[in-house]
Amino acid sequence: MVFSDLFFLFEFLPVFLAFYFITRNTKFRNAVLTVFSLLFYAWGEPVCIALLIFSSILDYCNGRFIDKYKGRKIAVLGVVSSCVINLAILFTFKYSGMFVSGLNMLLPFDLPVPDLRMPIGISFYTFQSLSYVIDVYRGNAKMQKKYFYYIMYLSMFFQLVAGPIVRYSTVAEEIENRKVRISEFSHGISRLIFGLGKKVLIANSVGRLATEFLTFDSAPSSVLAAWTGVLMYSLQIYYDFSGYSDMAIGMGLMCGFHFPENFNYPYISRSATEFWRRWHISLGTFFRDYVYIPLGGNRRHQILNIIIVWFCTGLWHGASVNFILWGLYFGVLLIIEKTFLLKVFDKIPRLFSHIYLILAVLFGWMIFYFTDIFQISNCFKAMFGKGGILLTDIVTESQLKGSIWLIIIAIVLCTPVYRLVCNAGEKIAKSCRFGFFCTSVVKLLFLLTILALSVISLVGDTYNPFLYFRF
Amino acid sequence: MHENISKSELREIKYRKRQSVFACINIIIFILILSFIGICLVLLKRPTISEIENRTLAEKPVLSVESFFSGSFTKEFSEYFSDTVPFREQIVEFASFVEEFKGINAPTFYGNVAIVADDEGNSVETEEITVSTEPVPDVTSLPENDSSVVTSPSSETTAPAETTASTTENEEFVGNISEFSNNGIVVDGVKMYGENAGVMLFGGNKKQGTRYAEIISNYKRALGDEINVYNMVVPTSVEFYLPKKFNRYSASEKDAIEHIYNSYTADVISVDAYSEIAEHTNEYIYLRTDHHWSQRGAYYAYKAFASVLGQTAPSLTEGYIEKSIDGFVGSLYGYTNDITLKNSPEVFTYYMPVSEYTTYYYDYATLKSNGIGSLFYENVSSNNCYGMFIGADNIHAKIVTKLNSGRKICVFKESYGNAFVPYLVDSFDEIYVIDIRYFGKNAVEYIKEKGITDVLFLNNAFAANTSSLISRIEQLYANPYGTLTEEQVIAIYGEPEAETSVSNTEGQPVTVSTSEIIDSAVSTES
Repeated sequence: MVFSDLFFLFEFLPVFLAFYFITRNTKFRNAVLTVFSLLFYAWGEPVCIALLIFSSILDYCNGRFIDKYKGRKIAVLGVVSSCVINLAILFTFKYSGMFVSGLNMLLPFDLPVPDLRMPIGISFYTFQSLSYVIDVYRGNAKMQKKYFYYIMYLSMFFQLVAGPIVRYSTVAEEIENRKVRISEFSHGISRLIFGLGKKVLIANSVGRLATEFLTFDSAPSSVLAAWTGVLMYSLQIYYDFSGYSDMAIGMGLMCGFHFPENFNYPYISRSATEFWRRWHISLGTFFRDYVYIPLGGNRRHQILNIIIVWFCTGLWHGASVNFILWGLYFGVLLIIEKTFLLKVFDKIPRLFSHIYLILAVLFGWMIFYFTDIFQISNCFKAMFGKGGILLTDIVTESQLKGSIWLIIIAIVLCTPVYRLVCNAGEKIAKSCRFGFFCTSVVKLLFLLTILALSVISLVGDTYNPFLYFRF
Repeated sequence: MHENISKSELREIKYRKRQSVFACINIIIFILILSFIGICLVLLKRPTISEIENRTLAEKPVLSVESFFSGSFTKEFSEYFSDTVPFREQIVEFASFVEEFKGINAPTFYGNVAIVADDEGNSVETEEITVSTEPVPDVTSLPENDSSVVTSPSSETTAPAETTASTTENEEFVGNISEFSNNGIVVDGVKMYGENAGVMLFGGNKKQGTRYAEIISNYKRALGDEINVYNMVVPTSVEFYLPKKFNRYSASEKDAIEHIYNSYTADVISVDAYSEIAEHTNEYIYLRTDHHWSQRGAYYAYKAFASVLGQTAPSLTEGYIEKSIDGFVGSLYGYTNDITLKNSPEVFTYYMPVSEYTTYYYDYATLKSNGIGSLFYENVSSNNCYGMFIGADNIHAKIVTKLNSGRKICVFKESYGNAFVPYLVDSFDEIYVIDIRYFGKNAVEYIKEKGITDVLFLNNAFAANTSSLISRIEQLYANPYGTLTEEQVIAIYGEPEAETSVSNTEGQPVTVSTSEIIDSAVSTES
């Protein structure tokens, strides 16, 4: 099940909320949350839910083990067992196919390539589980005595499927003791709807354009098509992911959890370094705290550390060479920036660093999009008009015109304009009664419109005008 | 000073209060909406088919232990749940209305559009991408009644069979379109007779044109001097109604036709339908929502043909009874699902000759008689109007008139010929109609056997440039199936009771066998 699904929004969520708010008792609420989370996961992964349960038991035990031998050297075994087993499971289900086919290229004989489907959310919950064990070992978090609370933390349906990666220490307090404030619930529901709109109205629409311009079987038809395609994909991936995070954070608020923000207007950054402080923050900080700093951070062989971290970051995104390339690409950018580029940017107008970042990110997403090196080079050539392609073509032009307002809105909303509008609205609301009334009505209408439009396009989503289109 | 602080504090308290009131309202509204829609989604009746998309919607999966643990149940259930939302049609229609606000209303292309002409409209030579999978069988090397004959043609016919299989419900028209060397469809901004329309962009292929002319010349050589061979290639709507700005995307049909007319290697007589049709472009000569011409357009082609024959065509007002069907939305909509086409249905007008005639129908593969039928099957549903002529494409027709001119014609056509054939009752004693895609005998032998005096090849510009159709004409001449038994023919063509997709008044596709059409047609004619 995904959040942008009619069944989730209108059946699962209301029924869950109804049960959740029967009593104020946190224990009861935790039970409801656990049951619904497991149902949610079983809906998508009726078999692989066993893996989730296994991981939760393993790390629950590891947590207890570490706590028991606290301060003694043997405690490290808990961390080792957690890392080895969890990462082995992740490797088996996510990377074994890629690994074996890569091995086959080197070996004189062929091994059978395992055909395992990756369980939903495994990359997210594995990291969450690891963070718990490591935090308990480091003393940053208290050991969780109750298994059910641990599996609830790990399986919470808000962030199970697509993050954010919520560390145990962040929510440890709230697992056992939390309150749902009316204002926060209201804020959560607004956030949920706003995220839904980001995903359904913007990400899906620009995504459709992206797939049209960036086809896997042929090079882009013109320079314009290549650039538009990459731009649309960049918008899609931002709105898709941040919309999803918004929905997760919103639902968390509705249930009394305060999850950390996952995105902070990444496209307004002025360097790749800054970009990664604003993009998928929970992943960036995870690698910073659990890989980069233990390796020595910037005190010992910093360049090697950066390369390792970015290799891992790339690999985390998928079992394909292009993701590793993408990760290393950012690693190299970061190294260049650290050595001299950031100092240069300080001296020249801001505009240049903005342009640099946008271009760097666009090329990054192009590498991210195409799983085939050949296609990457094709698209790269097309972006610079190599291979005698046209500057522009009428199909791209007409598609672009046909969605121009949407694209403009999508680009504008990448900047903090929305936040500025909200702040201005708050000022008006504070000034007088009438101002409050007006801003409230506008806010409500805005959210209602987003919800209505989202539902309408979700219904029409199965409506595919190209259904019969096969020459 | 002290007062000021308390004032701003007071304001802050008031603001907080108001905020919590707003929060309550916000929560109540959205929880009510979510639950209300949730209840509606469960209780209201779910649709099973979509008329707009012309397809059956996802079905509710059956829950079993296996289906649950394989994950297929939950996956299919989600599909079913979102695919069969109550009031789906209205919501989808509204969604496409809302979609239009995403940008400036720009033309939408359907299909792979390639540039085929430079800005001045001169066509650029395009390479044929699809290579004909049908090799020309060598007649002499085929021993009679050899079982290998069965396997070889059947493997050749798999290609067309697959096309029809993949297009399922829209077989009737999509099957036709996909055979053409088309270059995509453009809808937005195209106007015909002041209303919204769609046109298929013409790809054009001079090489195939040359081949077409050569094959028709072969027919002429095979048939000899006594039999006249006419060739008429007719333009399609894109030639006259394509907005100028798209000129680069469609080749000139006029050039393509002239090229064919200049490429014969035998004494084939060309019929210049182009000039006649081009003079009447402000009349309703093409269907706006369909890839065919109207029967009025076919009349002007007939007029051109009649003058080549040395005859005068009866005037449209005197020689024919004009009838029409409202609410026709044709193949271009079925193909593009473009809402502007659906919202501008057209009046389908047809002209029934007043002269007396009788129409006999035969099965294409076996030539078995299917009895006497009506030339116009007037009970067609409003989205299948073009299927009314001569039993549509997949039945072989012979029309016998009361004329006594001593001339018998055989028409080789694709679907454009359907609207044209009825006019021939005023020119010939007997008219044999052969659809080049479905006829299964040696055409040259057949023409000689029936004592035919005139042969007309009537194709639209797309067809005359399309490799697979040209190959079929060639095959009919080379007789690949002439020696087959009936069972072998069935093995290749499927059941001889060729099925025609007809829709009932509710717009639900219903399959009717051709014999039923003819039976009901006979009853309505009496």
